[in-house]
Amino acid sequence: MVQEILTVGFLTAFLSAAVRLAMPLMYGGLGEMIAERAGILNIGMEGVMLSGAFFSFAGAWYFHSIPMGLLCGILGGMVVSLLHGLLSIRLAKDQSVSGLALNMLMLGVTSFLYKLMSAGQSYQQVETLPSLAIPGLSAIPVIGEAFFNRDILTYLLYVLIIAAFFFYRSTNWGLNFIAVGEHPRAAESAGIPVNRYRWIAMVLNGALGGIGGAYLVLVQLGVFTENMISGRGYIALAAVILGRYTSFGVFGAALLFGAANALQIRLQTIGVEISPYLLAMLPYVITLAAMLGAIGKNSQPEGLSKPYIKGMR
Amino acid sequence: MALLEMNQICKAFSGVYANDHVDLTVEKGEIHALLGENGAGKTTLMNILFGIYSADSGQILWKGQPVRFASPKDAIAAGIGMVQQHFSLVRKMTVLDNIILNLRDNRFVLDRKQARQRVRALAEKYGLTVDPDAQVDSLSVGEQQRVEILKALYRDVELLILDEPTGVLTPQETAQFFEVLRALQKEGYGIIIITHRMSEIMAISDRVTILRDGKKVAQLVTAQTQPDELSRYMIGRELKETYDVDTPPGTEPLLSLEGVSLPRKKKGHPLHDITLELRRGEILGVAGVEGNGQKELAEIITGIQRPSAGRVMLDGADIQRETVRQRYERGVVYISDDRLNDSLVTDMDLTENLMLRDYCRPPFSHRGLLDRKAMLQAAKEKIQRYQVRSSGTSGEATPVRLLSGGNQQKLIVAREISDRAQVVVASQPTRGLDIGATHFVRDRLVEQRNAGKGVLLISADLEEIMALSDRIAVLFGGRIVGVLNRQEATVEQIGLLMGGVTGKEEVG
Repeated sequence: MVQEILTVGFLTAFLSAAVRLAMPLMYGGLGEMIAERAGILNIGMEGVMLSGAFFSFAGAWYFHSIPMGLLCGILGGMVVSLLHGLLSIRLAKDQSVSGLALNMLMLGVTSFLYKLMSAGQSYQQVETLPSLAIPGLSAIPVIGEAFFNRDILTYLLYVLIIAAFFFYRSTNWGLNFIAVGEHPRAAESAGIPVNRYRWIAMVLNGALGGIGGAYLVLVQLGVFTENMISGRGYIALAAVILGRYTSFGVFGAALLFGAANALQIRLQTIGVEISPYLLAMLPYVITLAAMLGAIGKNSQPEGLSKPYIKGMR
Repeated sequence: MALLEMNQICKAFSGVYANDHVDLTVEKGEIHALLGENGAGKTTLMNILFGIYSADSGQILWKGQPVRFASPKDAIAAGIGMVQQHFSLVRKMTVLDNIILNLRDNRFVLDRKQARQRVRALAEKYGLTVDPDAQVDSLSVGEQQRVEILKALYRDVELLILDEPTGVLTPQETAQFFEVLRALQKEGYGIIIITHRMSEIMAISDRVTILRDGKKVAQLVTAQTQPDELSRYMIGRELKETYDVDTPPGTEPLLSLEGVSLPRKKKGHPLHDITLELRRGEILGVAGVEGNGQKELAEIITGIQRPSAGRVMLDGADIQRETVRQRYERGVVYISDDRLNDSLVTDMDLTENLMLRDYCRPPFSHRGLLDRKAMLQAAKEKIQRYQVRSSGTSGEATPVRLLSGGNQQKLIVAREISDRAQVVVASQPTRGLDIGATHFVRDRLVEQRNAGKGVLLISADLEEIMALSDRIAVLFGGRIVGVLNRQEATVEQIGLLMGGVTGKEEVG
């Protein structure tokens, strides 16, 4: 069995699957990271992604166009994030409660709308995004296939990860976003409109989470099913913590979760004599183990999940 | 033409005047002190100037032009900087990033190299030494204050407002800080310094404006006044500055710590091998800059934290393993430096807060049921005896968050100090209180001492330590670096110890 695992073919397929499975987590994680660095905890990422998945499917179905599907997915995600913004920024409500409520709500809303949409038809499928191999890079053994023979959304993510890293490290706005999340009062006294920044962060949170959900539909499956995010939104939250609130960290953490999932699937298909139910737990066990390993290394923004009310001490 | 002129400023909060037709003028190159008790309206006035509040009426002339700032951003743009009492620095960013945060002429991509040079130049010019690339949470409070000042100077302000700037500094740091202020003054900066320390006003200011109950009661030239005159204006009556601690202190040991240590944790400060004895009938002052283990020392004595090594003995009995409640029953009471987080449940009313220690035993509790009537009666009596004033008409049923800081502190003192008390651990007991409340609290502590009990007075305020203590221990870096009798102690000596300069090092 070990020989089977250690072939180039196996590794290539494994890594390729890891990247594919990690992609929704990377988008969701990046969106969540942007929100949390600005001080807003959006536990509703699951709902954001679910909304993104459903509306991208509906958009692609009605307009017969993948770009329109993507746009609808982004808007669908944004609406949920903005609702969270309304509750947690404008009304200064408890962010955890608001996020959980949104997850429940979106599960109901998307299931209901999907029932309405699919009435009479049992099976609907939309076209998916093709892969575009990057000449040269995609020829690298093992890695090339996994990272550079992919769809355009994956390449967009690479750009976003690098851009986010540069943004927080070297730009004036990036510094402002950090200040807003770490110490909103200090930010305000430096003339930064705290809540406006938080709204912007929520827009990005919704857009990226929406793409994360849409990715499942428009790239991987071509269909929508009830509760299809099935916990990926929560794993994205874990990826942010494990990735220490940096874009490369989120990328790495999401890849780790993707790899755990890919490994689990592969082991099942090889026929390893472990109960498939135990194997299915692997990604979540790794998540927990990773969180335990990160204990004591607190990089959480100090202003996280605290509403900012101007003039209050 | 004055640099700043504030005329007839009025500001009311829910019908009560915080500022009632206040005037203030500051010239270029002037250090102007703003003096007043807590709640006299100093901070409100400065917040109006800085654009945090807007005045109900009145006029602000900045360099002769009428202005009205809608936000701190406008005030900074006009050339007014403010260093708040609680610093507004982002702890996880570097000094440099804090200074250049959201500057108007920042380009999209930051030019840190050029900014670093300018910060270095400014720091050198005014003696504000600090490493631009250090992370703020690695800096001492004094250094953080320098960063705040640099932040204002970097923004080309012409007037600097400093709210209680010396409260957190050692005497040496204060002296250094005054040098900085004088250098700034020489360059023509206007400076407003909010303080209630007479000695500092006399030492540094050119003029002083005194507020009382939201009104301006006087503006004086410092060189032509005396501390007792200032104090008279500030409180409207004269106060005795001495306490009846003249009876000889006791000698019988009451509480002793033997080799108490606490390891460094994520939050908090370590303690190293602390050996200390508190005697009956004495006030033992613990001096030191905050964050040198004071909180940990208090919590180890009261039982909130357990030391990793050493013993805590009360009256010859080892109380090491006893809980907070067991220690309270033996008479260890605690006035914490953090009223709102450690001592009060702010949404509960006066009665309930007074009962937090005793609710669980007769006469307030019988077989697990509370006796509200007995509680109310006891509370009424304490409220009267300790003159706790609640602002509302609901009296004992007022939630304590609606009380002023002074009345909250009186309430805590009323609860903790009872016949049961043997050891009173009082940490920063007068911080943030006005002079009236300060005297009240100090009088109670002295009463306890004279009644033969032991008081451990932990304070960063040297004047307070010197005025009340029989002996003074100095805490630095988690160690007791010296214990002095009050008669032989001088402020300079203690100040040096507080800064970690022990006799040995001086020689070496």
